[in-house]
Amino acid sequence: MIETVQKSGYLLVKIKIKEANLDVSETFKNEMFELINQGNPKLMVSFDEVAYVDSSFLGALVSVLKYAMSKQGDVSVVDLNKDINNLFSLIRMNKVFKVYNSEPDVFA
Amino acid sequence: MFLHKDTLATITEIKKDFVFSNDSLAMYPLLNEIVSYFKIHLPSEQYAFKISNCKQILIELLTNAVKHSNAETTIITVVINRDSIEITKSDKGRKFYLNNYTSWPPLSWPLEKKYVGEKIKIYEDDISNLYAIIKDENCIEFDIEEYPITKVTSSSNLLEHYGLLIMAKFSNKFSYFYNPETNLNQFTTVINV
Repeated sequence: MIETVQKSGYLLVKIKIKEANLDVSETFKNEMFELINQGNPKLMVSFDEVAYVDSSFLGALVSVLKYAMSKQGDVSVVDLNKDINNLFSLIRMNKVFKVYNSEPDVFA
Repeated sequence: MFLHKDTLATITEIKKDFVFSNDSLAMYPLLNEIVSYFKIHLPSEQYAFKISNCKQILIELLTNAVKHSNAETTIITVVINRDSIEITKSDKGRKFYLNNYTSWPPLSWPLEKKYVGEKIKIYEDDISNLYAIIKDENCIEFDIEEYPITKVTSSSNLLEHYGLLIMAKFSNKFSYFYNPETNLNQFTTVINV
């Protein structure tokens, strides 16, 4: 369900599903934990192909962030559609995760 | 006030029930169906932001139905009127519960009258607290307390359960009602427009 692209200083993780919901949140979390365990604590997650995010998936994303931080890493997000951007702003997840409009060259 | 195409009369409230099979695969088609219904009745661009909020509330109500209701079907009722959009999720499954909740005031239905006005703490983390305020023996209303977010670090305490918080945040009023006579559970969100 994810595809990765090595960038300078971080790994870009593209979510390859439309519905980021309870059906896939656990798999997503496990796959992300594995990437961190493989030595990629700095991750940027692209929501380019995602139509909506539910609370289960958001919970998984927070869990990934906590795990990445415990390994001196970080998780940021990019390519949020209007609804997902609205979700991140309203519950202030935009202050918990760094939110980018487009993929930066270097992880800030 | 709306001009309804079938009746050609002005009406002040539009109401519709949608049936959800509590199957996660049916979530997205139903979500799109209800959002289209909003767009038909509230076509102006000025409502786009409110409809986006309704969409997220619907996602959470449907997710909640799949995860917690323990019922075969859920009814989503949408009421659009002059001042607000009301979205209600009804089922005859499991009553509202909290995993591992042992604090005070106790949460068992019907709630005790003496606890009316008291707050049940649902979640607590470094950035917000979520409460259920006891309104009467069969009704609670959700309320959020938010703290400023400073730097998030690996030692920050962040919760991983956002469903109720999202619904409370995206609506102007979010409550749960249990009807002991019909065994009906209802979550109602009101979004002012």
